[in-house]
Amino acid sequence: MNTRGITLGLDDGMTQRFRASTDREADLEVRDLVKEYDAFRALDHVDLTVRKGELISLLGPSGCGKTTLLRSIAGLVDPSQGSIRIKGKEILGIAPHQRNVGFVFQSYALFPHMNVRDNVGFGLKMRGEKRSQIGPAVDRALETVKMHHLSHRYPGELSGGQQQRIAIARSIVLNPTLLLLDEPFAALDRALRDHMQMEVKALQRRLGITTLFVTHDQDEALRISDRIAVMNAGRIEQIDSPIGLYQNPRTAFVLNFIGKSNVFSGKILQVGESTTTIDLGGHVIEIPAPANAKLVSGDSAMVSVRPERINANSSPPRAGEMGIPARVSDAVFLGGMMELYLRSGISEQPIVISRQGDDPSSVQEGSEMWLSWQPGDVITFPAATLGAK
Amino acid sequence: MMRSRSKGQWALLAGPGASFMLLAFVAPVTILAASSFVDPGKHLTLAYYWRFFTEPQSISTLWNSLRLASYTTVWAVLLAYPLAYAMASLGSGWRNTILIVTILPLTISVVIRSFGWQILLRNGGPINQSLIALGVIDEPLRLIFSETGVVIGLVHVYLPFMVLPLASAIERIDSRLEEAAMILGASAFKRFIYVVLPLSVPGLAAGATLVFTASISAYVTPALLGGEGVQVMPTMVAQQVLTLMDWSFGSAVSVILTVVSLGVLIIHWGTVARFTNWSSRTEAAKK
Repeated sequence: MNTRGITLGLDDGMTQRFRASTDREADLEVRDLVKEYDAFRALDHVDLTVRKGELISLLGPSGCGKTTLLRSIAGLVDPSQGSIRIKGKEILGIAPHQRNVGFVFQSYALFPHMNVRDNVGFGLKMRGEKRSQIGPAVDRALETVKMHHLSHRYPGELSGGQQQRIAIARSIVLNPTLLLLDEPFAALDRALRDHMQMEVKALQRRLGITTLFVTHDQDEALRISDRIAVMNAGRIEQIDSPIGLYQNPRTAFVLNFIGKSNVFSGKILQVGESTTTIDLGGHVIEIPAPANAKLVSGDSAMVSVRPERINANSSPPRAGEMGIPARVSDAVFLGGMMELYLRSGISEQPIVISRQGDDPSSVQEGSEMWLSWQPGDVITFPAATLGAK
Repeated sequence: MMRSRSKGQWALLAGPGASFMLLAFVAPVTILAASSFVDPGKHLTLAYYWRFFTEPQSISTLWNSLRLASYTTVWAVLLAYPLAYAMASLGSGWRNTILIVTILPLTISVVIRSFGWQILLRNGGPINQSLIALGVIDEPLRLIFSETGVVIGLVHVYLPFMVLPLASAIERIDSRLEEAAMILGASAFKRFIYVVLPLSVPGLAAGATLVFTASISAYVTPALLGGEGVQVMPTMVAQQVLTLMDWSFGSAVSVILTVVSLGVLIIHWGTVARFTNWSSRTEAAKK
């Protein structure tokens, strides 16, 4: 599957720029954005392009700069250098409310002393719109988020999900070019969160509003995003569709952050025209070559296979077939699927395998199994990039 | 929310403090109130109240008190808001500096401070001299033994009681509310008017109550900075009781002062309750 990662010798941002210019028009272009706080660099030369109507997640651990990036776009943070354009117009140095962005805070930041109507109408009032125009606009926004029946409540009288809808209504009533959401589901309990994610995604599709969304939750990002920008230490490591990131992580960080993976270290034996061979604790495996990383024979390599891509057979391999011996240490039932944990000579960590619709009692703890996978399912990096993580 | 103690245990904890406050308030007020209705011949009478409300000088003293306490409260609010806003918004270093500057005068006796103001405010004092030197005025302003002097002194004494509750109310306002208002197009002034001001009303109310009740019943500052010319209710009580030995009339004046300040407070809290209607509804929803 590594054929998609065509290396042009460009950095991530430039590749992104190249792609963006060939696609739809860009609503948001962030170029070379840097934000420094004393000695700390919160944003380290960030490039990002968001196309019209797209929903992009900024995904990363806390402190990776995702919220700083969002707040820079909204005008709540002044970047140290770089450029941000909305619909081609530079917005750095322009007041937040003139950027035509909507911002939904994690805590929603509804005005507790104003009822739902006054909260939603606040932006229009500040713009100096007439009362006769504010009323119908607020009605439309409240109908969009299905909250019309609670328009005279105060925020404190609403549930978390209802408050969130009001926060969204308060933003979209101003018809923003760009909707920014800062961890909007973090404060909700699990069941409500799943529901609100789908609802926000549906709303975003229906309104066609370009949306940038910050989260530290990979499941959430995978569920609702058109594309995900994975951030780490102030940089965007990779921007791709959810499936692209999962199947083609370009860095070890992305590999580890998106989905589970088994990581083994091996030695590169030979880099050939069509295949590369790697020694994995005495077992020689093949991967398609050249992979997405520059591999040099003799170097150490990091080899990764996703849990659902590993087969475990209870019978030994026939001659010439792949089969790494392992012993079952645990079997976990997870509803629709189960996870097997196995010990093997090729890694110190247990190897995780997931299987659909299997019964854990069919697997005996301590029984021996033989592991195999397709060469194309292997993700490989030079070991140096692992150390850099 | 109730912690895991019975009501009896809480009563035991609150008992000593509450009964001290109650006794120290109820006993003198009862004695005062009683003596205001009794003449030297031990007969029940309303004559002292009749005298107060028919004597023009008494009525004007009551107005003086209400006016000076109101001015003091208004000036304290105007001076305290910027201070409290700065305290709530600045880093802890500046915050503490403002706090110390605000609280430090509290450590010095009101008597000493009043003598200090006498020196500063008198006709040949540094304030009048500098104003004359700068050409702002030709004749010295009558800053002392005037209402102006009393208000200056009272604001100085009671400003901390306005700043502290106000700052703590403003600090409790989520800074993201101001950010949200900014993104929605509210200027700094409008953010103050629509977000900070309404949300700080509880602190404002608490501070205003403290300043108003304290300044309407203040004795030292009006006595030292107002002099003969500015008669207020507490100085009138002192004069009746200490100089003229008229305990009954002095008691009636005290009772009137207490009732009037309670009345002002009730009106005040009624107004505040209307502005913080959202808060009680929010509290009710949490239950």
